[in-house]
Amino acid sequence: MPEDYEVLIKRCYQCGTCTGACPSAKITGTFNPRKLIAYMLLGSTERVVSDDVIWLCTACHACVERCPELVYPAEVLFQLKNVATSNGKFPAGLKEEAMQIFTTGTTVALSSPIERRRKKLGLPEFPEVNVDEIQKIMELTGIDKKLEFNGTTLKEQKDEEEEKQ
Amino acid sequence: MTSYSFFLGCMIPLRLQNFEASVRRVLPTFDIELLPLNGAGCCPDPIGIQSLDQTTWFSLGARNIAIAEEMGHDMLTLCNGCFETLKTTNHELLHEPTLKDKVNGILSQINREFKGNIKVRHIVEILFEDIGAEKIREVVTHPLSNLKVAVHYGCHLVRPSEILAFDDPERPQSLDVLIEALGATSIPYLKKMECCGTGIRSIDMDSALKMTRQKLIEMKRVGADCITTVCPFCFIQFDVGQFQIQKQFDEEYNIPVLYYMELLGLAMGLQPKELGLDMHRIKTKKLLARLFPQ
Ligand code: SF4
Ligand code: SF4
Repeated sequence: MPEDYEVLIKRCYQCGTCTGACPSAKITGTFNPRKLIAYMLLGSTERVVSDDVIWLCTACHACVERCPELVYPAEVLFQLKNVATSNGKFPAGLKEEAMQIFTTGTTVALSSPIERRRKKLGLPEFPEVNVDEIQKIMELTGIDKKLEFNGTTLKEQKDEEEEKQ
Repeated sequence: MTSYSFFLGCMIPLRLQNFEASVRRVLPTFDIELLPLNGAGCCPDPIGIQSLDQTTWFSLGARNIAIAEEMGHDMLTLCNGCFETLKTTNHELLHEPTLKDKVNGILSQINREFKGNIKVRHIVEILFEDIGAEKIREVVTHPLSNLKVAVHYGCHLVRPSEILAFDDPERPQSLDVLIEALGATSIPYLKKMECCGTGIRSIDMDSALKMTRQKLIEMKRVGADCITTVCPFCFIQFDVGQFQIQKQFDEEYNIPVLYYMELLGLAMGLQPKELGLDMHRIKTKKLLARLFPQ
C-alpha cells in the first residue's frame, strides 16, 4: 500500500507526466494533478483539499502507471478526498450513493420491475443481502456521521420529509 | 468442473440483467459452476466509496471476501469495478498487517474474519488464462465474420497493474485475442486505452460525456460495427451515454455496445432474446440482422 500522501508528494519532481496521461486534465481544463501536488509542496494543502476540483479524478490510474517517481497521484487524490470528506466537504451524489448502500446494501434498490425483468430472462431470484452487517460496518467506520446521515436510511429520510409536509 | 463463488455485485443483477443472462448461459459450456454468495452486497464502488472513506471501502469489500472464504472457492467477478475493489482489498490486506488488523477489528463485530486464502478473478482472466482462446474457438458455431469490433478494456481490468497483475496496463491484448477467437476483427483506434469517463458521471456529467465522445469519434472514424466492454459502468457510459451525447451534440454514432459474453453467446448460437440483447439503449437489431441474415 502506498504511503501517506505527505510522504508520496515529496518524491514528485514536477515532470508533468501524470497530467499528460490524465483524461480529466485534457477534458476539464481545470483539473491538473501535477499542479495540485505543486500547491501542496508549496504549503497550500488546505486550499487543495477544499477545492471541488479534486473530485474530478476518474481514478483511471494512468498516472500511477506512468509516474517515474512512484508518487501514485491517484492514491494521493483518494487520500485528499478522504480528508475533504472528514472536513464535511463531499459531492451530494456520493452521499446519495453511500446512503443507498446503507439502506439496501446495493447501489440500486431491488424493485418489482427488476424482479419481473429477472424472471423474464429466466434468472434466479436476487440473493438476499445482509443489510444489517453492512449498516453495522458503516456505523463502526463512522462514514454515516462524516456524511451527516447518522444512521438514517433513504426510506426513513423520505418518511421524515413526507411527515414535514 | 471448476466452482466459483459468484460475485454478482449490484449493477449487473439489478440493472444490466443482460450481462448476467449471458454469463449464466455461456459458462456451463466450459464446465464452470457458479455458487451464489449469500448475504454479499455492493463490492463497494472503487471510485465513489473509496473517495469518501478508504476504511469503509476496505471493510465492506473484506466482508464480501470473507463470505466467499467461508465457502472455500475463488471469487468470480463480472465487472471491472468489483474486480478493482475486491482484488485490491484482498491484496492490500494480505500485504499490510496493520490494515488487516484494523479491518478485522471491524469485521469481528459482525462475527466475520478476513483470512486471505482465496483469489479474486475477473471473467476475462478466466476466459483468457484458464480456458484459452483455442477452446473458445472450438465452441463457436456462428462465427462473427466481417464484424469490426472496437475493444474497450476499461481501466480497472488492467490498472493499477502492480495490484491487478493482469495483461499489460497500456497495451493489453487479452480481449483482442478473445474477440478474434469469435471470428470477428478487433480494429485498432486512437484513444483505445483512455478512460470512458464513467468515474465522474455523478460529479460532472458534462465532462464524463465529453470523455466518452472523444472515444466514440475515434471508433466511428475507423468504422466500428460495435463496441465491446467487460464492465457494466463502461457499458452504461457507452450505451446510455452515447444516447445522451447524440442528443446533446446533435451527432449520430449508433454504435451498439455489447458485453463480451453477449458476443460469445451469439457466436455459440444462443438467441439474442435469451441473452437480453433487446435491453440495450443503442439498438442491436440492425447489427444482428447483418450478422445473422435470415
Ligand atoms: S508524474 Fe509523478 S513526478 Fe511527474 S509530476 Fe506527476 S506526480 Fe510528479
Ligand atoms: S487517476 Fe485521476 S489523476 Fe490519475 S490520470 Fe486518471 S483521472 Fe488523472
